[in-house]
Amino acid sequence: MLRASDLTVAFGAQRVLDHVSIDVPQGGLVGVLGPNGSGKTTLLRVLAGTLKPQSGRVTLDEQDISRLDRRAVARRVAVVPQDTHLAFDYTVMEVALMGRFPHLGSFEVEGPADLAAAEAALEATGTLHLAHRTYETLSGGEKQRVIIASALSQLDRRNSPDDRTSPLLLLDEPTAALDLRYQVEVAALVGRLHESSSAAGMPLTVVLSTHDLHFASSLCDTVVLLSEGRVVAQGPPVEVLTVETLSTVYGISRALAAPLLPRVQA
Amino acid sequence: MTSTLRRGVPWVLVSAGAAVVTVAIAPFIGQTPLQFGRVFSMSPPFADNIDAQIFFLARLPRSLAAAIVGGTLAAAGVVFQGLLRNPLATPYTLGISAGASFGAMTVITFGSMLPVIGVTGASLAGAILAVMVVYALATARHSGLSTTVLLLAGVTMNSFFSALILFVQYLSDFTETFRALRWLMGDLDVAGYGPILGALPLVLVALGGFVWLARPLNLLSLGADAAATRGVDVRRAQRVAFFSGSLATGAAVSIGGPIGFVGIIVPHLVRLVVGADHRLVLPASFFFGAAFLVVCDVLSRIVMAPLELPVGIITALIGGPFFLWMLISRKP
Repeated sequence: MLRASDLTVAFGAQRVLDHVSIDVPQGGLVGVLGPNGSGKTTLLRVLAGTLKPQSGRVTLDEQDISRLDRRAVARRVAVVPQDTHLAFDYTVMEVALMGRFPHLGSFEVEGPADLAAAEAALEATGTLHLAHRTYETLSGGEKQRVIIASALSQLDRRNSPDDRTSPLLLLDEPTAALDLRYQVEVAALVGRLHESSSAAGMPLTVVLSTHDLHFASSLCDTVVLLSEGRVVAQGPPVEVLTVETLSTVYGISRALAAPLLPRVQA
Repeated sequence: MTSTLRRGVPWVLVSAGAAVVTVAIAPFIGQTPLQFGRVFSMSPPFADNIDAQIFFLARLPRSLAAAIVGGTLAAAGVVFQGLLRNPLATPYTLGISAGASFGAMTVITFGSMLPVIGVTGASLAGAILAVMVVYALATARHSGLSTTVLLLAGVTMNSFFSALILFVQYLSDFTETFRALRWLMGDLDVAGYGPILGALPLVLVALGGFVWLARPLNLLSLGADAAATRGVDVRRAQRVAFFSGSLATGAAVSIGGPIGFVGIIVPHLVRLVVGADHRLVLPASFFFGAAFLVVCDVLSRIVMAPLELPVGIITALIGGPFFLWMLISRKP
């Protein structure tokens, strides 16, 4: 469904992505792994269409994403950034409703369907009880779940029930800024959303970047291992996350790499 | 409609009411007391009705000028704050007012040599010049301007344009210097409706831009990238914001000189009441800003009567401490 072919991105002289190609099947859950500075965030920005690659292209259902209307893309592809700070004191409900932007005309005010979509999204992330709090007063884990809710309300199709295209959720290190409890919570939330969407007959496709090998291997059906802007390996977690690849990519000895491997494979 | 929006609409109406009431009452306050009955009396012809003349020819234009300048500066403040994701950004702190002043000063001083463009055009040109620098800064920094960068840029721009203004003053003769100095303090002593009518087209275009911007500015609070992924045409929103912000600042400065701090006090107080949604903050700030500056102007006319202070001194006396308080109490 989402295909990136031969992406190259450079900031100045530094090449951040170097001929990267990945393929995200409809309903798939793809994890992007790699050390700091390996190009994970950049890859997600290119996949979302907010960063133009110097060469290569991203296609969504065979259509070049850079040629599609920004609002049309936004109705299908939602992004959860690493951490989100708001400049002003919006309420949680207002943040969730920001996801409705691509569904509304320039001067249109949110209607009952938009409110229902935002409420459903807050409900799904367990943050509906916070709806009237201001975003900046929340804890890190709550903030992250509210931003996920905002992305879910963005993908909600209740204004256009005929649209049967599969929605796509991109998450950039959704657990990185969180303590253990919220890491577990957010990881479980992503898994739950993915599962329930397939059960509802509208499979959600998920691409997430993470440092957490356990999170990636327990949740993802495909992982992509990046190093210095190149794809080192991609495929099922069992095949990609091996002592060899980890010790090369992270520059650690094999003895140190072995215990890092997710338990399922040990 | 969201519950916050529903709760906020009455406040917008209240602030609009406050603007209308202050504009109507302000002309009755001043050195020469006016009688309501005589001002609107039809029996003596207008040419013989001193009260009506003072009201309609001297004080009402001033009161309207204060309202337009105050509302425009406050709304422009909201737009720059939303765009740069920083509640300390205003036309004044960013140095855009100083750019506009430099433009206007040049024409006031060398007016006879530059008859074509006029004070309004010149202050608009100065505002655009200054805004281009801020635009370059904002696009270079994707996630908005930090307070440090913002204040440093503002200090730099302000001292740069101050130097240019001093240079222009140095070249002018003594009487012009006095007139210009008074204007630079921020003064609403307009002569008739001319300056208002000259600036009005700019103000209307700017307000049109602001109306369109209200929702994109909400999304831009998330950051430029996050707004783009939600379907906002970020570049277009930035351009509309910078262009209409320069129009607004240029127009306001051409009427009243560089009156400071309205754009920071008013939006901050408005947000405390209506929340963060720009669809409420923008109109409420416009109306409340209008009422605020009309009241400040009345104060400037009565505190040291018969002396009339430039209103910029009043707003600075209130705004300076307010700005420092915001800087101190703000989360890092």
